Amino acid sequence: MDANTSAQLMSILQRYVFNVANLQGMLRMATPVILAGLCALITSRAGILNIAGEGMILFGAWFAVAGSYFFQNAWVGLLAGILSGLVVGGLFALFSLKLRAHIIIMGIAINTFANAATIFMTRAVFKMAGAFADPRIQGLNPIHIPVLKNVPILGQLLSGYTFIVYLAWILIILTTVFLYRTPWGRHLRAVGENPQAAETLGINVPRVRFAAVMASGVFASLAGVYLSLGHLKMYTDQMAAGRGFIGMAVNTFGAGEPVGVFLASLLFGFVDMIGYRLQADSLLPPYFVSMLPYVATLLALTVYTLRRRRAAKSALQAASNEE
Amino acid sequence: MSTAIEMRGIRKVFPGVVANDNVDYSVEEGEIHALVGENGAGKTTLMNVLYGLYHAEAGAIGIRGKPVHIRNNSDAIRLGIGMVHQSFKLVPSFTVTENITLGAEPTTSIFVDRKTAHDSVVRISEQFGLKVDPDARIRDLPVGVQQRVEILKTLYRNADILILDEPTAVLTPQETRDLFGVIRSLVAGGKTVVFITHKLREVMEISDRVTVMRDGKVVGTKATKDTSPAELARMMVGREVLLRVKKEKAAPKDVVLRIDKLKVRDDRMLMSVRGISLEVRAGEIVGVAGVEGNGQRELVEAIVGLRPAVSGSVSISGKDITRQSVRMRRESGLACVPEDRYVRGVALQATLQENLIVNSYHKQPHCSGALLNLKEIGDFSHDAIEVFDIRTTGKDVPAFTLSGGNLQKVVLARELSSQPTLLVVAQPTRGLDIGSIEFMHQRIVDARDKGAAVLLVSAELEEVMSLSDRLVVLYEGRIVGSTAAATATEEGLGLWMAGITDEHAAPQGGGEKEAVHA
Amino acid sequence: MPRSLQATLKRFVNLGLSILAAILVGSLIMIWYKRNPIEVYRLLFLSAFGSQRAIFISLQRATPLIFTAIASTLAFRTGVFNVGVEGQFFIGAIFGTFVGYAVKLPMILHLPLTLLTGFTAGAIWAFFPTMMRQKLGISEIITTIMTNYIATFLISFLTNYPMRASPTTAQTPPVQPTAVLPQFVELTKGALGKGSQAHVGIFIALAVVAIIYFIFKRTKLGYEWRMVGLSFPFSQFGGIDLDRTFIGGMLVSGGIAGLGGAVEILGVWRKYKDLFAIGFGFRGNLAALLGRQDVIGTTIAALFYGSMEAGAMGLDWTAGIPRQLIDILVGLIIFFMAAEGMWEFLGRIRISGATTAERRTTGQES
Repeated sequence: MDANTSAQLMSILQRYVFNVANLQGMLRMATPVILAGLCALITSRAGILNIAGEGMILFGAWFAVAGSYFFQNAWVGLLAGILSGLVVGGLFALFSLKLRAHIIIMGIAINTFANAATIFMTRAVFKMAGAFADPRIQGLNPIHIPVLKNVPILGQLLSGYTFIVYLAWILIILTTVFLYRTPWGRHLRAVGENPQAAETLGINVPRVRFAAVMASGVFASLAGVYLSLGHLKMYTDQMAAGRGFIGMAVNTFGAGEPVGVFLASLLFGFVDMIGYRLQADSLLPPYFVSMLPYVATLLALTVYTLRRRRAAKSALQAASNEE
Repeated sequence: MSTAIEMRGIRKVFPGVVANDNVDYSVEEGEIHALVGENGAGKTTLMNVLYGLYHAEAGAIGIRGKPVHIRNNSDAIRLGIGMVHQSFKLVPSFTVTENITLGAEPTTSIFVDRKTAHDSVVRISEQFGLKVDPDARIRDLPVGVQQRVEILKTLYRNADILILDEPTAVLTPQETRDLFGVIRSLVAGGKTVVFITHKLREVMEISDRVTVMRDGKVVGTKATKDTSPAELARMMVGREVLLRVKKEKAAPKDVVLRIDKLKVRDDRMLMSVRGISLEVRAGEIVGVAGVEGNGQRELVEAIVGLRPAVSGSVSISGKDITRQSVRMRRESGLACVPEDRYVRGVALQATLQENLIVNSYHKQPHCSGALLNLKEIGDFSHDAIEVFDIRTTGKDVPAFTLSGGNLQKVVLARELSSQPTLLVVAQPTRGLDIGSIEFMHQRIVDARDKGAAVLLVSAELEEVMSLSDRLVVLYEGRIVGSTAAATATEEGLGLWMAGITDEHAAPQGGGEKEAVHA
Repeated sequence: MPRSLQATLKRFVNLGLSILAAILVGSLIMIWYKRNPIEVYRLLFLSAFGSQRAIFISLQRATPLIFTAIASTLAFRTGVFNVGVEGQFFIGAIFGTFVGYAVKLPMILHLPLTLLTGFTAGAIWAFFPTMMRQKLGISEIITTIMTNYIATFLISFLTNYPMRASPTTAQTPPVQPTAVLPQFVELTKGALGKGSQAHVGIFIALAVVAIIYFIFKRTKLGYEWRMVGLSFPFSQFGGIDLDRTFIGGMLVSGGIAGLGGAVEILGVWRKYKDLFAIGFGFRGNLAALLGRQDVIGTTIAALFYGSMEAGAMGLDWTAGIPRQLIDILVGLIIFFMAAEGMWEFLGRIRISGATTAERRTTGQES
C-alpha cells in the first residue's frame, strides 16, 4: 500500500474510530444495551426465556420521567424506575412461574401491554401525545471523576458520564463475581443447567427463578432510566426501540458471560455511533442509520452462528484425523 | 440390629393411579436391602416419598426408631438419607467438586471457599475408596465415574442410608462389579443400602434381604438366601412367567439390510459408530446386544435417516440408501419402532388417528391429489384399533391419554401397516408391563415369519437372547462378537459387552442356565 | 362428560373470567378519568355496533386484523411465533402500492397483480428470519422483530425520498383507479356503509380464512403443517420434509400478512402515507393469542378486536379517553387467560361444577 492510500486510511480511522468524541458516543450508546444484555443474561443463566425486556425498559423509562417530573429530582426518578422494574419483574415471575402461563405469550403480552400503557399514561397523566419533555424533568448529571479527569485522552474517555454508565460497568463486574464466586450464583447456574440437580439437593428452584426474573426487571428498568434521564431528559413513545431484543442478541454473542455481554454491547454502541457519523457526513442516506442496529444484529447473529458451526466442524475434522 | 427405616401405611396417589397402596416397608441397619418389582410397581415412588420428593397422602415414617416428618429434600438429607437416582442429577459444566458441594458450599463471608471444598472432596474420596478427580468437569467423565460422584454427593452430606435406584442400568458388567465392591465396603463401614432394581440376578448376588412390590403393594419380604429368582419373578408378576417367546426356527432368505463399514458421529461430535458391517436377511431376527451408550442409538438413527453417516454405506434390498431421506427409505420398505417412544414414535398432542397415518397420508388410498380421504383414513384407524387391541375411547382422542403399552401398539400398528421388508426395533419393551411385552415379542416374531428382515436393538439381554436368531454385541461402536442365539450364553455375551473379546469362536456353554425374565 | 368437551368448556370459562377481570381493571381506569364505567362501556359498544355506520367502521378496522391474525395463527400452528407480521404487513402494503401506482394495466390484471405483489413481498420479508431459524437455529422472535424495525425505516426512507409524491408529507402517489378495491359506500352509491371506509377487502379476508381452514382440515399440506407444529422429531421420523413444510408455512404466513397490507391500502387509503399503520401486526398477534390457534376462533377474535378498536376510537373522540385503552384491555385479557393456573387455583376455593377436568381418584386401579 503506497503512502497516499495509507494516509487516507489513517485519516478515515482517525475520523471514525480513534476519535475521542466518537468513542464517548460509543460508550454512551452501549450503556442501555449492556443493561438490556444483563437482563437477558441473568434469566437465561437461570434457564428462563425472558422476552419481556422491551416492556420492562419502557416502564422503567416512563416511571423514571414521571418520578423526576413530580418530585423534580433525578434520583427519585431513578428509584421510581427501579421500583417499576421490580413490580413488572415480579408480575412476570408470578404469572409465568407460579401460575403456569406460557412464558413466551407472557413476554409478548407484557411488551404489548407496556407499549399501550405507556402511550396511554403519557396522554392521561402528562396530557401529551408522542413525546413528553419539560424543563421540570431533572436528568442525571455528569460525574467528573477527580484526578482521572485530568489524565489526557483516558480522562476524557472515562470521566464525565452520568451515573448509570458507570453503574453498568460496575454491574458487569458484580454479576461476574456473583455468578462464579458466590454460592447463590452457583445455585442460579445449576438451576439453569439442570434444575433437577438443584432441586434434589435442597435448593429452592422457584425462589431462585423468581429472584432472577426480578433482577432482570431491575436491569432492564435501569436501561429505561438511562434512555429517558441519562442523556436526553425526555420520554418518547416506544423509546426502547428494540433494545430489549438487542439485549437478547448481545447475550447470545456474549455466550451468557457478563464480560462477553460488555464487549458485544461496545460493538453495538460503536456501530450505532458510526451510523450517526456517516449520516452527518452524508455518506449514508437518512433512515439507514436507524436501520443499522437492527441489520447489525441480524448480521452479527448470522456470522456468530456460522462461525460456531465452522469451529465445531473443524474440531470434528481434527478429531476424525486422530482416529 | 436396629431398624434404620420404618415406613408404615404409606399411601401415594397420582391422578388416575395409586402408586403406593398402604405400603409397609422396613430396612435394618447395616443391611443391603433390595427392592424389586416391574416398571410401575411403585418402588421408585416409595423411595421418593422417603427422600422427600413426594408427599404421601397417608402413612408414617420412622428413622432409627424415631418418628419423623419429611417435608422436602432438605429434611431427608438432614436425617442422613441420600439417594442416587436412575438419571443422574449432575450439572454438566460444573466440576466434580462443584457438583458434590452444590447447595452446601463452604463459605468465607459471601464467597465460596474453594480450597475447603476441594479438600473435603479429596478427603471423602479417599475415605470411602471412590476415586475421582475433583477438578474434572462432569461432561467429560464416563458414566461409571459420574455415578461415583453421585454417591460422593450423598456421603458429603453424611448420609448413613443410601438409596440406589437402578444403579446398574447404565453400567457394564465390570463397572457393576466395581459398584458392588463399593457397596459392600460402605456397608462394612456402617452404612445401610437400599437397592432398587428389576434385575433378579443382581438381587441374588448382592442383597441380604429382598422386598417385592407389585401394583403399588408389597407382596412380601424374604431373606435372599431363602429364595430364588424364579420365586421372586413369580411374586413380581403374580403368575408363572413365560420365560421365552415361542417361535419356530428361522428360514432366512435374501439379504435385505446390508451395512458396510458404517461410521456415525453422536451429538457431541464423537465417533460413536466406528465401522460396523452387518447383514440381515429376510425371515430372520438379528439382535444387537450391548449396554446402552455404545452406539446403538446412532446406529438406528443412521439406518432410519435421522443422522448422516460419516462414511460407509447402508442398503436395503440392494439399493444404496445411505444418502436418502427418511421418506425415501420408507418407500424402500423400511419401518422402525423407535427407542424414544414419546418423542419420535408418537406426537402426544396429536390424535390417535393422526399418529397412525404419518407414514401413509401422502399415498393412496389415504389421499387423492392434495386432499385427504378422511373416510379411508377413518376406516384404517378403526381397523388398527381392533386388530392391535388398542385400549382407547376413540380414534380422535389425543395420544397422551393412552398408556405406554397402548402407545407402543399404535407405533407397531402404523409401522407394520406398510408391510415392511425391513423392520428395525429399538428398545421395544422399555417401560411396558408383562402383557404388553408378550404382545410386542409375538408381533416381532410374526413380522419375521411374514418375511421381513428384523433388526432388534435392545439393552435387555434376556429379550435379545430370546427373540433373536443371530446375535451381535456392540461395544464402543464396534461389533465385538457375533453368534447364533442357540449357542449364546449370558456370561459370554456379558464379557463381550464389557469389551473383553476372544479372537476365537463364540463362547461355549450348554443350555443349563435359562435366562430369566426379570 | 367427554374430555374434549370438558376442555372446551374450561377454555370458555377461562376466557369469560379473563374478560371479566379485564373489564374490572378497565373500570378502575375509567373511574380515574372520573367517568361512570357502565356509561363508558355502553358508549364503547355503541361506537362499535350501535349503528349501521358503526358496524361498517368495525368491519373496516377488523379487515386488516383478520389477515394478520390468520397469518399469526398459521405460524403458531406450525410451531413458530411470527412476531414479524407487523413488518410483513407494511412491506406488502408499500410494494403493493408501488405496483398500484407505477404500472398501467386493465383492472382485471392490475388488481390481482397488486394483490399478488403484496403477498409475495410479505413472503419474501418472512424468508430471511425463517432461513435463519431453520438453518442456523436462531430464535425467530429476535430476527422477526429486527426485520420489523428494518421495515419501518426502509419504508420511511422510501416514502420520504424515492417514492415521494408530495413536498409536504411523506407519502406516495395515489394508486391507479384500476387497482382500487371499491368501498361499500362507493359501490352502493351511499346506500350502504355511509361514513365509513369499509371495503370489499373484507371478502378477500374471509376467503383467506376459508382457504386456510380448509387446508388444515382436509389437505395433506394442512396435516404436514399441523404435525410439524406439534412435534418436529415425530414429523421427521415419519418422513415429512421438515424444511419444506416449515419454510412453506412461514412464507405463506408472511404472504398473508403482506396481502393484508396491500388490501388495506387498496381499499382504504389508496396511497401509502408514512407511519399510517403501526400496530396492525401486533394486534393480529394478540387476536391469534386470544383465538388459541383455532382458525375460526382467531377470526372471531380479530372481528371482535377490530370492533372494539372502532369503539375505542369513537370513545376517544367523544369522551376523551385515549384509544389505547382497548389495547390495554386486550393485553389484560391475554394476561389473565395465559395464567391458567390462576383460574384453577381460584376454582379450587369455590365449589366447582362440571368444569373441573380432573377427578381425584381414591383407590381405583388404572
